[in-house]
Amino acid sequence: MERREILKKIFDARKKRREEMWEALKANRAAYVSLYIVGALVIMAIMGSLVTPYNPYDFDLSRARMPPSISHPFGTDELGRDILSRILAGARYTIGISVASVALGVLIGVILGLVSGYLGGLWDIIIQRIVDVMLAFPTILLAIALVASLGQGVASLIIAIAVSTFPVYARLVRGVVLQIVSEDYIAAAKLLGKSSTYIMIKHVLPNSVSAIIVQATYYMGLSILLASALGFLGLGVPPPTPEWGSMIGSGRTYLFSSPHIVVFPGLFIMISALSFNLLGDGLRDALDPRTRVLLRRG
Amino acid sequence: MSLAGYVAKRVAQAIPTLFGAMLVMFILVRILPGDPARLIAGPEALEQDVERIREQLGLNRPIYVQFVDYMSSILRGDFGTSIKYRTPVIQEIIARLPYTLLLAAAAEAIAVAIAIPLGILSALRPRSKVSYAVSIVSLIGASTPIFWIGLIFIYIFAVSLRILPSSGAESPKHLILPAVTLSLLLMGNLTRITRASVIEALGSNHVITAMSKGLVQRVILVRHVLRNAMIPIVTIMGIQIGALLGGAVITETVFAWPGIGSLLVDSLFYRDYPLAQGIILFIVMVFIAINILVDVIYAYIDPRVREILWRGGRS
Repeated sequence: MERREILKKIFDARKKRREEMWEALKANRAAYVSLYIVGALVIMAIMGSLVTPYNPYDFDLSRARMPPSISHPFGTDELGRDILSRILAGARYTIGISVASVALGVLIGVILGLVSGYLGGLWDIIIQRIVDVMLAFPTILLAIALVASLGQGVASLIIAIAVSTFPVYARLVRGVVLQIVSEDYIAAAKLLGKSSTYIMIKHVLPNSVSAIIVQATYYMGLSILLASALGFLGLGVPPPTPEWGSMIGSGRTYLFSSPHIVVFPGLFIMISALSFNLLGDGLRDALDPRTRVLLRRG
Repeated sequence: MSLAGYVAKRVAQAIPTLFGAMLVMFILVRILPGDPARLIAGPEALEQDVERIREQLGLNRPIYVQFVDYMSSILRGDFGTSIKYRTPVIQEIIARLPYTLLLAAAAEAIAVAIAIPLGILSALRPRSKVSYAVSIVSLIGASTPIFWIGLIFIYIFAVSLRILPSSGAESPKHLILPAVTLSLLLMGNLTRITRASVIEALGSNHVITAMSKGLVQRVILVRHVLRNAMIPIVTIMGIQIGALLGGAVITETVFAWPGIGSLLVDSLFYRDYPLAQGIILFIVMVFIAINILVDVIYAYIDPRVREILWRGGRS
């Protein structure tokens, strides 16, 4: 009976906390709107290629570089392909690559951060050295080097971005671990004979989650910019794939006469990165108890 | 510890990082598709020629010997020979480096000149329209692909208005668009950090004391607020050097600016891997060196940090 009451209290407290966070997020109008845009982008990435008005790959040189019109709202590109269709179909690549690379980066970073912070000693030294080396490369240069050696393609792009960004999560998680590892409940768990893995997953990880979520949201924005920059340089997904950055890269030759080829994909990159950044701001404020208190007072 | 001692210590700390960076590049080059000897020899070379080149390059020796060799030649400033230009890689880098330094310095100067006053202004008037505009602009700046904004600038200023050249580096006018574009990459964060650290400094006890003493506001701002706010600002500037160098690669490509960034992208298209890896490693070395410099400046402007660091308080 008593146990059930305690559990109920815990669940209620958690539910209240979730509601508070949701309220705080909703109070930030920009973040709330961004949440919907991000949702729309995800839907676009999943379903975009099903609703394209034209085939995004079909070229027709007689219709090349037509400015925006009713039949082609964003115009056509240098090969006469409908730009709206290509943007819709390309969401899968730009957004998908970013989601996958952030997920992979978080996974590597979290594992290394947990091991580094919790086990300490030699593990910590080795992992921190690796992180130091990775951070010594400007992000895009490491990504360029990785893509050049792994070869072009979706998979190598995902790996390249993930590897270039995981050190930040590793640092972050390690910091959180070091902060909480001296808390009483960790000592209690150790006394109860729980294994390191158990403590890491059950106690340390949940405490890092909000920081990781905020960072991952920001990194979605960054990954979108990184993936499209690589595409623009011609190092991303090879043509004719309608990845947004490479659309700009191949359209830039015609900038002087047909700027629309460059403008629309860029707008979508910007809107995507902006929504993830705004959402990151909102989540940071909502998940940080200190600002939550401030919001309530204000 | 003296300043020289501190510098020496930071350099010593950077050695393992540099070693690691070389190892990373070495591994990446090894897993590159294609046989480097065959690449150099060209597609029509005879098997014995390829073999001879392989021997010349030492590619037939054990891998650890190759790594030690590779490291020692880099430390001697020998980054290998460019496949395309058939000249030492370091020579190509040095020829193009002044352009990149010029571009980076101009971009940093523009970013500092605009972002810091804006950040201070919006910190002093936190609920004003200026502050609101600053946060929106800095957020958009942080979310816009710079290659795209560069192309938009070219369209506006070179194609439509015809007041600035679109590419190349023949005159000082050619520097304006690439430098402004690259500065946008830095401006957002720099404004945000300036704003946040000025707000924090404004709330600190000694500033409140200074205000209650009735000191002139300008004096408080310069002597108490800005001096404290400079520390995070210098830190973020150091962190941003990476973005600056990486952004230079993209900006130079957009504007055909003849620095090492556009050289890097070109070298990848020619599959000139010795040149590409030489440039990347060179930039990493510059990045590490600048970070040491930033740490030293950081210690110099903050007496507390100076005290701790120079006494060797940091392990």
